Amino acid sequence: MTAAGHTRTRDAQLLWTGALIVAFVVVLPLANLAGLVSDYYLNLFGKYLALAVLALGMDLIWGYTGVLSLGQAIFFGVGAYSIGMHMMLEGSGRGVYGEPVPDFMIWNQVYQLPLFWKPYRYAPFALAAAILLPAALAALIGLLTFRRRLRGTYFAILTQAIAFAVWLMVNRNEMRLGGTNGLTDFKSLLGFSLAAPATLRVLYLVTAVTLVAAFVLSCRLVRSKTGLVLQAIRDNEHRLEFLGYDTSGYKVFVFAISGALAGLAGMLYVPQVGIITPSQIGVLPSLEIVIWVAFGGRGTLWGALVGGVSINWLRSVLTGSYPRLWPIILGGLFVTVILFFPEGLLGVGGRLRTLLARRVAVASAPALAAPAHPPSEKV
Amino acid sequence: MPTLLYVDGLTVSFDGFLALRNLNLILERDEKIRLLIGPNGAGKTTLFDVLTGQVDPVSGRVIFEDRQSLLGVGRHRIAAHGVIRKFQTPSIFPRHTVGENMALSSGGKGCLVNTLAGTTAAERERIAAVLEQVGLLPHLGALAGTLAHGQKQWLEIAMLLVQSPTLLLLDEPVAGMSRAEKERTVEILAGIVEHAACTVMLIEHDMEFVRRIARGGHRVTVLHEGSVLSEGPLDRVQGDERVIEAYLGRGRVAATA
Amino acid sequence: MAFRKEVVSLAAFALLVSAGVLSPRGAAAAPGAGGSAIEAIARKLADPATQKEAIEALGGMADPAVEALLRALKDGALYRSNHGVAVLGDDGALKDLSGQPVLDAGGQPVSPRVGQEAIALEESSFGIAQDILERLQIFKDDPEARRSAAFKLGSSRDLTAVPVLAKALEQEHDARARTVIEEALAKLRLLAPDAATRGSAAHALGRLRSESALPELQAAIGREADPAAKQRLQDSVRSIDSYVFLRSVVGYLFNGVSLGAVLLIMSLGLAVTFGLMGIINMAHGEMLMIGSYTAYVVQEIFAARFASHLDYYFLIALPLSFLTAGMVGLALELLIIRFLYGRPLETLIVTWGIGMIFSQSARLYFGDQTSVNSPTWFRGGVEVLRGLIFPWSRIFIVVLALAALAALHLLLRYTHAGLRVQAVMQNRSMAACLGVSTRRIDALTFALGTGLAGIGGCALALIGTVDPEVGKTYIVDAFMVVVLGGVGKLVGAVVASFGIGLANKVLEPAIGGTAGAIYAKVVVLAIVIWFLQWKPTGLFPSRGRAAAEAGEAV
Repeated sequence: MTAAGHTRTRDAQLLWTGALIVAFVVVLPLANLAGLVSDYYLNLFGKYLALAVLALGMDLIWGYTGVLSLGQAIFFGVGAYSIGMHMMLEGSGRGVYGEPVPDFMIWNQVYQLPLFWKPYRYAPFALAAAILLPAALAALIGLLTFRRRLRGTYFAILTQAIAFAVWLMVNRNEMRLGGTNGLTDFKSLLGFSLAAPATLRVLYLVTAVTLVAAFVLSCRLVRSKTGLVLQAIRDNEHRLEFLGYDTSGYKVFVFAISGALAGLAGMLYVPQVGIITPSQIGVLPSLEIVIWVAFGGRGTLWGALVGGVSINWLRSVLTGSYPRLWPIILGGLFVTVILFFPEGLLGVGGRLRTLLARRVAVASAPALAAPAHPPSEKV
Repeated sequence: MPTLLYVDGLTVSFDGFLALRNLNLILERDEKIRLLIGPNGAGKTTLFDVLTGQVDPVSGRVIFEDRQSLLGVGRHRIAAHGVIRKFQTPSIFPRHTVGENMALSSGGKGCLVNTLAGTTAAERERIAAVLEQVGLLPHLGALAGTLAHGQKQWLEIAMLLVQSPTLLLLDEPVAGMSRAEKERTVEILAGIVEHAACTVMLIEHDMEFVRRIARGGHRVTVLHEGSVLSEGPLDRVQGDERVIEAYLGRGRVAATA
Repeated sequence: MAFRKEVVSLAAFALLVSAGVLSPRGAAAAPGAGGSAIEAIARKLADPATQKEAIEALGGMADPAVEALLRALKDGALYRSNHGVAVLGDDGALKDLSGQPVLDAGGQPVSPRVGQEAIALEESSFGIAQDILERLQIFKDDPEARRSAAFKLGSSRDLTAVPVLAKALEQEHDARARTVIEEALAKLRLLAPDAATRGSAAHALGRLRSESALPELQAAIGREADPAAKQRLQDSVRSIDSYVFLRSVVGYLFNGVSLGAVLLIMSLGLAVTFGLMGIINMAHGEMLMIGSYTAYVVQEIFAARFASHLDYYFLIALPLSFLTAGMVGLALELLIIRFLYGRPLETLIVTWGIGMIFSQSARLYFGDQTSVNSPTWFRGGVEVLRGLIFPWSRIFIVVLALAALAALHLLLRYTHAGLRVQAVMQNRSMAACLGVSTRRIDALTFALGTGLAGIGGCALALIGTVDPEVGKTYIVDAFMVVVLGGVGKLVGAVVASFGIGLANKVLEPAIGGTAGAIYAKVVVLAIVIWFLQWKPTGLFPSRGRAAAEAGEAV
């Protein structure tokens, strides 16, 4: 792309970002207040936007840096359980020692709050832990693996194994995290009742604003020189080392960011959905996140948003209308879209534009026409 | 006299096969260019591999600038010290523009720095200057993958130059080039040898090309079967009987240790 | 054996007692009753006052004929007859104790007179009669009944049962029943008054590796005064303990091998499609599912049409699973996968979608849970060591896994087709230049991989349920095995699956507790993770290009 092309895209991007902000942060809530959009629907969208943040993190580590992590759901889970634990404690009755003890523990004959639950009484801790803990975890995993030049599939399988192990453990009642039932029955968050529509509206708004902020920051990141380095890592990490870059450091950095975003997403998700169970933090959810980003078009950030929101929205719609057929429809969608538009949904737009451009070019000047797309050397 | 590169008793084994045997080599600081020649399999590329940290030797020492061992040091750190290598096949980033390729090569390499700050104006100027030197400035915004083969090689050279190397390792830089491209490359490299503040170590087979870049007085090291066979000024070495024998493969030629 | 003397003396004693009891009556033995002691005692049954003694005496006789008599008494089919007692047969006529019909003066079979009541079994004697009848089960036809009777007697702590057991031992031919009887005898003899007897009984139990006798042995040690006997008791306990330990170890090893075989058969197909071809097939689990459902359908058909040969369904199901899954795989390859070569990411998503479609379709058609019954050949198992049974179904899976592996290896190594496959996978363009139809090879190899998965699914149906979620359950393990083993080499998958299987099953008891299996799995995962760090290309890294490229390119 020429320099002029860059500026054009930049302007276009700005426009689209603006549209995004307006649509989600302004229009939707206003429509809700005006009664055009139901509370239920708004709440659903809050959930989708939270998952879009998750997708964003995935795109950063995978779409841009080329590192396939099949364990993002773990980080999501840490954030989700953090806020979940806090809300449980907020709404629990008193235990033996006067401290709040969640009901499910009482039913399991645990009358004293386990040690690791205690700090979650405090909202600031819970909120900070929801974001920082997954980031730290990701950094740790990254430090242990990237330096050993663990690449490609092997890293993917490794994260998958970790996700599997974590899922197995969290399912156990002994872990005191609610077992297979997870944490649910939240009453309030920071003093605001979760039953009140106003709280949910605010939660939606917070989610939308957070998404926009995360999006903008991610854009800044990928446009910076670091973003350049990340993409270069994706394309030819080996070469980059000979240019003097400590690539594993970069990978740890972006992996930690993706972990933080995932935790943030979990934190936004749970109060709006009202429940968190181990089934949302295992291998299959992690794979789904990959699908969202790939379906939308990876390496574009927009693709993550589009993919994350659209697939989850589609899923809700289909589960409602076609409760028996929806996996078939969704599966079929994956197959057809990817077969014809390997760059995902965003690629659809691009392809159409190219087709049109080519038509026009051929019609007008049969001689030249440089390819609008670079010869892709790797997918 | 302080040396630039001091290689002592370097031995590299690949599953028993000795690619390098007790290799000794010294590069002086004021050397402009050192030629590395030898028949195929002599160990030239392997030597480069050791210098850039891609291969670990079985024994030996490599000291850079009299103070820094290059063994057991991470690849990116070796590059940071100023030992830059150009590969036989052009390895640039095809999905990035020429400008982006250059931006990647220049400036700081730290993670946080690059997130917060970008390419400075001074850097941009330098990039422009280097691109000018290799003749790629008009293609600043072009995707590197769309360049011709020769242009890709020049881009790579530019990427190397912008890193301000102390020791530049060139591995057959004109391989696969057309006549015209070779001409241009000769000019670029000759210019580097003349004016740049770095030392060039050059692996090459094309003696005509070598002659265009190096003067008669520049030193040549001939490798054969993993050791130094002969070393000396270009003129003398070219006439050395043993070197000719080694290249032609007639009879057994014993290398000096 | 030393018991014989005791048996004889006890029997003699019983005889004397009964003779003594009976003699005042002095009636001559009824003609036709053979003067048997039983006859004599039997008459005493008629009189309530002497019934109890008579019953006890009968019990001490340890004679199978007693069983019929007592049973008749208990069932109310015992009548007084001219000469003593007679049993009411099914035909309404009376028979004497030797089974001969009782004849009247005219030689006709006699029936009970109208209004005649059977000899009543006194309530106070009911318990004893019951006990004796139970004891006498030891002479029944069914070896299983004999074994359980002997076991019960052994645990009864009633020394009077010894003669019965001894008598039974003499007649016993079934090896397993003999063991139980010997064990029962020894257990009872632990309570004998004589220390030497106790000692030899302890020794016998040790020799028999009698696990069930451990509590008795332990108790006996506690109260044993005689040092020699005590020593033997302790030796016995030690020997039994070490046997139990050995047996557990063998058990864990077998379980490990069995689990390894399961993993192998699950992963073999994936080793072909992913290891050899570099295709990330997320629908591999659903291929397994197809195999399982094939088995189910075949079984249903057999149940409906060939019910008498129901077991043979399996012989059809196994190859049919291979074919079905292979066909599906072939179709997939020709219609979809072929467009995605060299694009592992897209393959991942597309196959994921395909998996969703298959899984949901299965759910819609078959419902959420069905199951397949193993053929009766696979019921039960082989008792390798006393108390340790290797189920036939698991043995079969091990054999099947190894057979499939061998077949695959032979196919790849020694057939022309296999050679072509290897050629294409290692150097596609060169193979094409040599005239190999890479398209055909690709399609067939993929079909081979999915076919293998089908076989795996059919086998898995034997040990688990058949449900639509089967795919998702197994896919993680399968990928783990292939990656751990080193993509591209079959031997890697073998080592990895058996390694993981054994590790799992050895850790499980080591960790213990109800969640042992889960924690063991977590630990094994952790080990795999750690191992992959150290050797990221797996146990047997291949120099093949396909999968390595797939790994990098995703």
